Amino acid sequence: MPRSSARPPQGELLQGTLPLLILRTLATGPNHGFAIARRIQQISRAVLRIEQGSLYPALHRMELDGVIEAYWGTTENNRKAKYYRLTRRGTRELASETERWHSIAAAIAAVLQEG
Amino acid sequence: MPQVLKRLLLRLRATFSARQDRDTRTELDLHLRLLEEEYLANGMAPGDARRLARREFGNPAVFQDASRDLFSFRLIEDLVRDLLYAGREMRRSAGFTAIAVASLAVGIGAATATFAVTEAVMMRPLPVRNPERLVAFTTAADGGWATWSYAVFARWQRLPASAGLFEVAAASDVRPLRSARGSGEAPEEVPVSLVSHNYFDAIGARVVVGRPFAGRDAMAPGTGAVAILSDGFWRRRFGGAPDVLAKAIELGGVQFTIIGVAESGFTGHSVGHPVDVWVPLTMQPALVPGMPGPSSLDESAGAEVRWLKVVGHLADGVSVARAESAARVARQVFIAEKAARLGADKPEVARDRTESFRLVAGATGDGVVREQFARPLTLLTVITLLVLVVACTNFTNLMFARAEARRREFLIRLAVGAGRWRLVRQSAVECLALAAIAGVLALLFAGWASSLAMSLVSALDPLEPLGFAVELNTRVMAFAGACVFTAALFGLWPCMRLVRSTVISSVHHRTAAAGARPVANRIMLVGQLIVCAILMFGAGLLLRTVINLRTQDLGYERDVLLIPIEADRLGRPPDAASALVEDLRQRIATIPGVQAAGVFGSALLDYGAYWVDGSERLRTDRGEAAAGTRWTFAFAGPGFFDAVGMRAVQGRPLSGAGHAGEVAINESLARALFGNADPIGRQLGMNPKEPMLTIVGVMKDARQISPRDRGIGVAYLPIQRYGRVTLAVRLASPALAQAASVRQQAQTIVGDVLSGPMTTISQELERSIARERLTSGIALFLAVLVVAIGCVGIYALMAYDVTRRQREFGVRLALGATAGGLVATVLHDGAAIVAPALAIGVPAALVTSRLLASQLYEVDARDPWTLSLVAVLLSIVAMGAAFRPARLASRTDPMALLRHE
Repeated sequence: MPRSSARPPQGELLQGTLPLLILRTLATGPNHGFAIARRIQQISRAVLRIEQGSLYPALHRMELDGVIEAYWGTTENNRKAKYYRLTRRGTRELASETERWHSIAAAIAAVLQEG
Repeated sequence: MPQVLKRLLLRLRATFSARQDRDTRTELDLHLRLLEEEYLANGMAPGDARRLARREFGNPAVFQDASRDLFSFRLIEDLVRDLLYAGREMRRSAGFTAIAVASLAVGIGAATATFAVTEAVMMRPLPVRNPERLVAFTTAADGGWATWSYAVFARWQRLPASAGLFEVAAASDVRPLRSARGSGEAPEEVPVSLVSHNYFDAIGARVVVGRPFAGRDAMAPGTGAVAILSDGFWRRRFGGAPDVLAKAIELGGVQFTIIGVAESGFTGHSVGHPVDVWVPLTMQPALVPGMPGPSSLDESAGAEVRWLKVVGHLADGVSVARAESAARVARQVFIAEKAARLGADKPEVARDRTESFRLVAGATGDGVVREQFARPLTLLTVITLLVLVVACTNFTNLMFARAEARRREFLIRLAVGAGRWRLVRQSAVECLALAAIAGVLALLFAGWASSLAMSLVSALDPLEPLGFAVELNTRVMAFAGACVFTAALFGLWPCMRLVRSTVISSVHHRTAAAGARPVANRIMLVGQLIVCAILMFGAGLLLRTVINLRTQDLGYERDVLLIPIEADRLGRPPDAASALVEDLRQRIATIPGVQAAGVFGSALLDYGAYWVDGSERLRTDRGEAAAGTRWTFAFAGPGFFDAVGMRAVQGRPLSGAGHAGEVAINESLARALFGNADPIGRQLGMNPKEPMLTIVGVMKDARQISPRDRGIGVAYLPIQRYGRVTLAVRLASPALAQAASVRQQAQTIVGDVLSGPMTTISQELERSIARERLTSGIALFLAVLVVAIGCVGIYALMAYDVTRRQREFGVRLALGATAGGLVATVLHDGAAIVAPALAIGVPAALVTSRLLASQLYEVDARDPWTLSLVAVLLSIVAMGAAFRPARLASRTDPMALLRHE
């Protein structure tokens, strides 16, 4: 993929963090796949760029796991789109995963500082 | 709903409908479009916008696949696809499929049928509630349940603690009673059992129409003329009509009121002897008068008449041991009382004391008949298992040939990236599908075969018709399933071998180096042919036995009509009875086509007839004894010898008018008693209490009891009591013997003293060899089956071989070999299988035929003629199977082959 120099450094997504990001995005309200992708880009200030299509297998797996649920709705432009929203389980999952992430990050930071 | 379930449902839905896929598609499409529109809105050119959007999104197909994998059950999808593929393959090589399925179906069917019969005869528990709580009161270790007297049964019933221990009931043996059916129809023999009033309750069978017996039905001996019918009898006789209650049925001359119908499937506790009607015990004096000894319903501890089977239903929580000890104690008290009454030195009392008393599990019913069938069933099981193995190995051979033919396809698929496991799984599905189809056909075949066998079995002995309810129940189906699974494994083996082979180069080289001469197949074929030889020989011997039995000289004519009558019916006095019989005889003799009519009072070719063994009773006027002679007696009335065509070799037959002091003996008896001396005029005594009889004639030997009894002595006595006798009517031709017109005229003359169906001596002969006919029929059938399967195997193997060696043949032809030479090569190959098979099979057949020795008649178990015939037949048939592939080899066109390279 050719890189334009104007783009900020590409951040590679760590394995397993995509679901967490999705959960966080949906915590503010239900949304469809495109919007979720845009928000992740927005919030991370474009550091995290994902191959947008890979969102969908992740969404579907989360749907099967029961942390989010899907329903059909319409976009602002009256187009049929599949919306996702957090379930109660998803909320719990978000809280625990966030907790875990923070503790891992802290541990790594501690190790790095130690030198 | 738990998440696991939701997930499962979602995935199931996705597997079987395309909606999930479509939804994902819609999602992906929308996202792409939205991206594109965003770029367009930012002022990009449409082409660039699309490209950039695509780049940012990624490849939708990949994500579609990933999602699909998440949602669907890959395994199920694959299996469905495999099944469809298998179906297509089966349709494509329809001939192969047909042969494979047919030979498997036959093998599985035969094994399943045998199992179904074995299950019905040996294994199935009674169709009652809680059969595991049933116990039988018996003495013998094996065999049937022992019989007891009413007196001791009453003791057990009234055991002080029995109310808490068990409920005990009694039932008599099944006996056929004559039951009139109404005008115009001959009376029928109905199997009846006399039971205690709590029988149905104790055994756990329900009475679905009406009610079971109650205590009030039968109080005193001779009362209680009520009856409960079996479901089958109710349907047969009364058409299943619900208004059967309060109708009457005649049994043994007594009218019974029907009060109930038992549940469908219950025919008593005696295995093989189904009961049609149950009546209370108390009716015994009315039904079977003249039973020797004191009344069978006497409760006092005197001389015992043993006629009841006793069965108990254990109460919950009561162990067999506890019940047994309680019952034993009661019995010992009874024996003590009996000894006190009769005298302790009586042999009966001594026997009682030494008898071992026990309670055995009664769940499988009273199975004395099982002993009869244990040996034949075991033999049959072994044979059908052999047939199954032959069918399975045949399946392996066929699949092997097919796998080799698809070697190229497999290797290409492997090269393109299919996993080995995938290929194996697909082959497994194919094998299972073939085996499953064969299994379904096998069940149909088994159902037909077992019901045919059962109907033949029930015809074996009309005096005591045997009946087993063979059904395709869960156990039988499970057995069939196991066979199907085994067969599939047999068929999978060659496929696995193929997949495991790593000779990739075979894609190019048609002379498959990996297709080494399949030794395993040849060994299996040789094994199959050995089994063929054994079975053919056995079948041949049995067939010859049947032929010998059927065509031997019986000593009398065969076209003789037998009319059973009951002359003293309705209490006719003896003089009137004999006059009646004589009158009937003369009138029947006037029917056109009748050559002679006679009367006899005993059975002819009938098991269960009088049989006297040992010769201590026989004595002559000069004291000759005939040690070790087996002999019987028969009652011959006026015209008998003439009617059946028996002639005297010395002296004269008995004369008609009952000269009471006369007797005629047959050649065997004469030889045994007098040697070569003249027996005419000598005196013979059979009963010490009665005067000796004068021998007036020596009759030619004739089969009296069974078609197998040669050399049995027979003494012919004049009929003493005209009760149940038979009219023997000799007719001019076999056709007349069967003619309805003659029978109708006879029926009109005889009227209502007819006591059973009319038959001919030919029919009786056929019936008496029914067991042999059945055995030989089954053996022949199985032998033909196995030979057919073996031939199919040889054909397949030879055909595969020819295909494999096509290139070699082509080269040989091109180099100058003749077509005949090629044919010879293939035939030589075939002979290489047949020869060792015969070399081992013939001695094997000789060894195993010894098992049959007891069944044979006038043919040796090592008969060389039959053996040679079998060997020749087998060789011809087996080589014949190799012939077609040989001809195919001769037609090889070298040019066409080389062009293909």
